[in-house]
Amino acid sequence: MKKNFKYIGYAFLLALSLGSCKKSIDEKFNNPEKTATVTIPYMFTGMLNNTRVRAEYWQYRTFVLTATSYFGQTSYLPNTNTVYQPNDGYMGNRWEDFYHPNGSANGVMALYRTMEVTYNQMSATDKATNDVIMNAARVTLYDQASQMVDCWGDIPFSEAGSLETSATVKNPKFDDQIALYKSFIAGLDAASTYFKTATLSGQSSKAFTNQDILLGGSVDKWRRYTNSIRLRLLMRMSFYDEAGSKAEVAKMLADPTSYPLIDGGNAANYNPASTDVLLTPLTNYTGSLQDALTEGNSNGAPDYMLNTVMLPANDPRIPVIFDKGVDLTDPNNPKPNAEYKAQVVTMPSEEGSRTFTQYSVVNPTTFLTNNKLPGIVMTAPEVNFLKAEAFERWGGGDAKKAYETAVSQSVYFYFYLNSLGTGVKPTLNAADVQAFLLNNTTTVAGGPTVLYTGSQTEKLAKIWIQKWVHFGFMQGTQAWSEYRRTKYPKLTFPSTGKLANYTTPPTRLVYPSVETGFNSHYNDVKAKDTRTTKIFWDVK
Amino acid sequence: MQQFYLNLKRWVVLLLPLFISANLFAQTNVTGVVRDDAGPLPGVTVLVVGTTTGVQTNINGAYSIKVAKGAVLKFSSVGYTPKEVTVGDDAVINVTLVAGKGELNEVVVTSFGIKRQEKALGYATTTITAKQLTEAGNTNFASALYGKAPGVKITTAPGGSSSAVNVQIRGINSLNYNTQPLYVVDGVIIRNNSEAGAGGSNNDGYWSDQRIRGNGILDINPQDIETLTVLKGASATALYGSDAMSGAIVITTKKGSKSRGLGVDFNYVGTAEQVAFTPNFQNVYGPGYDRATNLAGGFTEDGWLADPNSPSGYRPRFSSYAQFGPKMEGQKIRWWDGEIRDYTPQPNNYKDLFQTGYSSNANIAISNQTDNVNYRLSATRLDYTGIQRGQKQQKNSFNLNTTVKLSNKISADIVASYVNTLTHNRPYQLGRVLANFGGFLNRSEKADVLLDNYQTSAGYKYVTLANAVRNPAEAFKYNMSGADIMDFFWTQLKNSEDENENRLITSATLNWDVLKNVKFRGRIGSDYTGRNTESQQYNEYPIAFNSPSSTGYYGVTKGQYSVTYGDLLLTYSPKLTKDLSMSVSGGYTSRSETYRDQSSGTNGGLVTENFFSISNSYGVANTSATRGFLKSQAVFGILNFNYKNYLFLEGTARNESASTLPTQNNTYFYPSVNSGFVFTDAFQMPEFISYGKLRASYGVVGNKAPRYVPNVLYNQSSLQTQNGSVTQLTFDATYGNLQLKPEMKYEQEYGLEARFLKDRIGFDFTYYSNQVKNVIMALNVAPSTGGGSLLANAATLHSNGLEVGFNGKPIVGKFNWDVRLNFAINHSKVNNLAPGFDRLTFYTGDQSALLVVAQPNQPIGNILVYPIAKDANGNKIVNSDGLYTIDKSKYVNVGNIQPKIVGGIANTFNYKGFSLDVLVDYRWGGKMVSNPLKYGTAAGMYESTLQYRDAAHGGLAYYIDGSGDKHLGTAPNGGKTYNDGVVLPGVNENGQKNTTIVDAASYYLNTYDWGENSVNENAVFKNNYVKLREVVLGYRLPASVNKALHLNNLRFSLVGRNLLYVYRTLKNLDPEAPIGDKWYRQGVDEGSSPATRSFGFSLNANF
Repeated sequence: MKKNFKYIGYAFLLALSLGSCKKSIDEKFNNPEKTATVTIPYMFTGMLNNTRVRAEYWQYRTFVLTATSYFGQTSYLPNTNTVYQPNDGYMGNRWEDFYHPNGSANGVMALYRTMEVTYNQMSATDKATNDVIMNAARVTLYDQASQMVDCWGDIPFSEAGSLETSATVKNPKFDDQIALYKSFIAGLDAASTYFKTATLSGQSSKAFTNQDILLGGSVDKWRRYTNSIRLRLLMRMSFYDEAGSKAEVAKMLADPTSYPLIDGGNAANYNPASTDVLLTPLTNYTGSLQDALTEGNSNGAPDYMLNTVMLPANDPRIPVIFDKGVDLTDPNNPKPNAEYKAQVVTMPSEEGSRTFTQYSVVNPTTFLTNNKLPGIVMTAPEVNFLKAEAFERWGGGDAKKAYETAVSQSVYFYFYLNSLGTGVKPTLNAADVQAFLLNNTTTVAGGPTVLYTGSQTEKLAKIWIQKWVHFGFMQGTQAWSEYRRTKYPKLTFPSTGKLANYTTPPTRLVYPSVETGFNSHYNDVKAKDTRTTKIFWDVK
Repeated sequence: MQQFYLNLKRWVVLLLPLFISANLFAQTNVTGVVRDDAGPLPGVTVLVVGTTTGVQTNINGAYSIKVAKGAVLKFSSVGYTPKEVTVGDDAVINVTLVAGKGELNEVVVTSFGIKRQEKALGYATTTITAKQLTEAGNTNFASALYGKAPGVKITTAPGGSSSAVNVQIRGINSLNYNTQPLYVVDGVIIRNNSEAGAGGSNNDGYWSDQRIRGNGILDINPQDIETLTVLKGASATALYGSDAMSGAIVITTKKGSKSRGLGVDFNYVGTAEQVAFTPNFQNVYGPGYDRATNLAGGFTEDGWLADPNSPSGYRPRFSSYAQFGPKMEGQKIRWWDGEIRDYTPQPNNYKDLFQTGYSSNANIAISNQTDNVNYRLSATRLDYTGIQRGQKQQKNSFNLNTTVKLSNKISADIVASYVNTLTHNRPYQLGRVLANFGGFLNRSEKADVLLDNYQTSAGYKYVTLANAVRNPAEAFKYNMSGADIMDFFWTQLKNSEDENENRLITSATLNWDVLKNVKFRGRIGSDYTGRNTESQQYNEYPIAFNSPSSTGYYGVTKGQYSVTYGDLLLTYSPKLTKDLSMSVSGGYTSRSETYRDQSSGTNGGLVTENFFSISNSYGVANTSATRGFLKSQAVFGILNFNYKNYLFLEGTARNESASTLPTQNNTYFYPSVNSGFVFTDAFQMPEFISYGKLRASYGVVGNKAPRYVPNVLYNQSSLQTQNGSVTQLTFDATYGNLQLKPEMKYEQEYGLEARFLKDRIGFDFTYYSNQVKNVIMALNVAPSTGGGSLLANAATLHSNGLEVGFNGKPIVGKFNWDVRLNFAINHSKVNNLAPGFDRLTFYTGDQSALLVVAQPNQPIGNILVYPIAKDANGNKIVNSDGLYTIDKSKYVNVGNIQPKIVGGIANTFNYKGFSLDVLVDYRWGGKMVSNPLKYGTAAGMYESTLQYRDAAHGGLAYYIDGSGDKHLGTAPNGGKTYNDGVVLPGVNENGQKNTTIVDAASYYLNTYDWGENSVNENAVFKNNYVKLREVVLGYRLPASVNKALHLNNLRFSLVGRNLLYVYRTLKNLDPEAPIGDKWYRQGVDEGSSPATRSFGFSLNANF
């Protein structure tokens, strides 16, 4: 009997001893659901899969539709008392989403830094295999970073990402915005040069083709994208450093072979799907911008855009960008509105919300329920508008032709977006586009609406106004930047009944508290951190 | 198998010294074990009557004494009735002592379930008895601990029996992660909240989890607890190592009792609970803003809008979150839902959103003890309905506790406890519902109106004006505020989330007297939880309005969590000399935890309306599965000396390895030493001193990181693109740390315990001082460093404090009065921080205008705000709008969230069969941060905001001249005079006295607004309170009646909990509102669920 119990005791000992080794403890340190290996091509996909580029709820609801496109008036501007006061938390989200992974947005900066660390430790052969992806990753980073500069000015960049580079916290300095812009422009030039001569090995070509969810691994397209972003940045700073921009732009535009662009072959009836840089939604995406647009009435038609620019010109884009709407003032008796019309921005808020349904809204098929709406990175119309401006200001090409190409392409572009949706799809009549280009109705700033005539100032105004329409709310942040740079169109922002200190739209975003609360270098830029400080290119 | 031999080898090496040093006891001895109801009794004095020869039982209750046949042995121990046994032929005399009158606390269960004599301990412990835990009808033991143990701060999340109870022992022991004590039930470490991972529950605010979660200790049935010991300091818990840095709570469950034989106990508690301590709302003004905003919105100055559909011809601005609108005077108004209603104040509308909750708890237990078997079997049924509509819980618990004596030398304890819990619609956090600008309840709104409107007649969600096309007939006629509240009803009343949890806690312990003086104990235990959660959300509108994705949701979540625990303990206790005895133990313990979670849910809504199945998902259904493993092991040793039963010395050592730390840092060592000196036994003392003891201890204990938190790893996923599946690699916002070291706490503690006048008065006084080095926490960092936070050994903390307990019996006799008072003072500060950090920020509010921080050489939990700007003379600066200017260039400290003193006073009065227990607990010092309260003030919700609104409430009279300037005084020429002027004391930007008049509404709306431009010190409130926590009036039937009824005992009680605040500084908020288990969460209110008051009765019967 006693022996039996001894055995029981030994059994206990055995049971507890099994698996009691240190090795099994060490093995349980790492989370089995994750990997320790950094694979550069996989992480590159992470950089491209950016919810801040995609046409998704959070980006539009919290950043574009309630901040940047308010300040550029490419979306409906409700006359509420806090309309010019961006929400610090939401702005902080946007900021974080650039710097580090955070939920669904992937933080291009941190991913790029991680890739860079891995790349630097590689053998020369492995580096060569990954070169194409590293160049494309850098272009992606510069594109995103330049948009950060456009919103905030000086941003941490060169020293950013110390966690990825050294696993320690080294608060990065705020790099000078001008120096950053110049470094992006130089860096894009280097990438363009690389793409020009790149010959990919079978392995790197395969990895690039597999992982490039933006452009399908087309080196030519990446080259065009690189040059187009560079053109955008050069033009953006062209009032700050006209001579510098002029020289570089002239060089690019004079040599399309060396500097191919996203210009749709300069054809008016181009195909956005094959030309433009668009981030296609994932096939299992089930959402749309409906909630982002309808919450807060952001689906209302913007006053100046519809009433002042598009309607008088009989703009052929109207039926795909807007919808007349249904008057629900008496909900029991819904009445479709008879005509396209936007609410005026100065209408008092209560009246504005009461009569909201008596006015036009954004097109449901194109924007509201469109599950295939892409994230817009770069389009041919924008490039042609940039060309038109350059030719108009500095010569070297046919400004009128570029302008007309751009306007026509924009029409095709919006019809393309409309074609992706489900619902009413108007057909585009090429003759309407021609008529539109010749429209000479006098309403805007004393000059004709579309027809490319008048003084240089008037012509430039047309280029900028049409580009602003082209950006719309989808590229609301670009529209706001160009509005600040060019001061066109001449918008009215109601200022009565607003909170003190917030009676006008800001000229830049103030740094979010999530950064200023922790980065000791904030003191270096604190004096400039006001909502009325201007971005360096905002000098007009 | 090879592994086994390796381990065996290690074992032999470890234990060999114990055997080698064993003396050979050749004499004929009498040996035996002294026990009580609960198990072996250490420290029992065994004296040969008529001589000075005596010994003490060792920690396993065993003794050995040389004695002649026929002599009488006297077994005595404080708190027990002494027993005398004449020595006969038996060489083994086992004795069971019966507890003496009233006192059972003298034996304390310490680490690893080792029972020690209270007087031998060199550190402070508090033991709570079964009666104290159950008499007031608490559904869990932790909330019964309020005010009962010095240095133990309890906070109960609102929401009733399904909400977590947090226990904080001796202030702040760590800044992040695990700050809850270790719970040990019958020797087995149980799961408390570890399944929730590193973040714990309810720590990240509303957006990360809207429901108020529970924790694992809620499953321990208070009715089954025999005793509960709180181990506080590092020396007390050093043997438990890295889980017990925040203290340990050691629970022993009830067993059968020999003295009673076969017995049946029946206990029932029924209580009702009501919403209590609600804010003091104002009941004069309805919805509307300040005059300027009213006018800009198209309303009149007062806030009326002409409306021909209203019988009175106008209506207020229903969409306004603020309550500065027209006075509510019974006007007939067409409401936002189209009905005609009176525009009258609804003082109880907030309360009416809730219901009366009920709790019923029935427990029946059968127990018996025979020579070989001791068992107790209990079954408990808890039914709970909370104050939040739709909230329900049912819990069935079964507990079996047996001891089987297998031979004279071997016994086995088997404990098994099964708990089944069904929770329907856990309480919802209401901060974003009732206390934000979208949810402030219009003062004229009836709760019934919202309850009638949250769903349409077809069972879809309410239809706002903006969505009128979905149901024109039932759509709201006007914009309104209160959609958040209707969303809450939709969630709680229409939708359902059902949790079904099964938990099995088992342990088996083998006690074996291997040799004389050598004992072995082996234990294996497990805590298994299986949880299934099913969520059904109904379609919110007809699928015809889908966009293209649908609404509604169906999801299933399954979790399996298991903790497997084992320990081995070998003890050798020789008697060295007549006066000196010792005991040495060596042990091994190991624990392995497994967490598996699986979740599937529809994506993009339900295709067919209200058909709840994953197969009805609009998009590809979401699914995920995660695993988590943790393993730790340790070897430990204990060395005890006992000199003449008045001087005690104990040393312990533990070497531990844990899988959650990086490999090179995952093994660490903790020593501890403690000593107790009963000076009243050592020296002749004056007679009025009946007992006195000095204690001293020093110990080291550590804390590891939560599992996987230090990892630097990447997340791989597959993207479904037009070109097929593409792999993506990213990582988390929190950056790991592969150099992470364990936290270490070094604590010294001194205590004095004394009783006087035959124990009628006593006190227990403890001072402790500790330092926690290498505190592990996720440091919030600037996003531009490439992460949201970095895990680091971030700080060194230093705490010291006093814990004092008094007890007295002011009146004894037929009428008895027993009083116990305790209080604890704790100061925790940060000594230094990780390089590059001048403060750690735990909470950020209102665009960083308000922070809760830890700064070097400052108390932890300082509250920093942007102050009101002041000029060189200290005058507040008022801007041209007549409002305070905020100085955003610096922070000022406006207080600290840590309480200075916490404690309680318990009184028991007895007269014949009647007893009255009154427990008051209190908290003094420290502040609460409540942004919702600030916003509520901005919105004019509270009575306090009536100030300045009219002449009677201190508003100044003024008029506005033709050019829009305001002037004090009555308007000339019969112009309009306003009586709601405020002139803030201060100076303008030019240094002159401020004379700018601002209207009361603008003053509140701006000064208390969200954001950095408002006065954020207005979100910081003093938080002192004295609360009447429990009152129990009991009546025990006289013995004669009992006998006639064939009862052993019958007691009937009326119980009341959380009855009232004797005093409180927070008027519009319950001081116990906060939720979350991290330390700073207890000082920050973001809105949870209303506090409650409960009444009920209980019945205890023994057969």
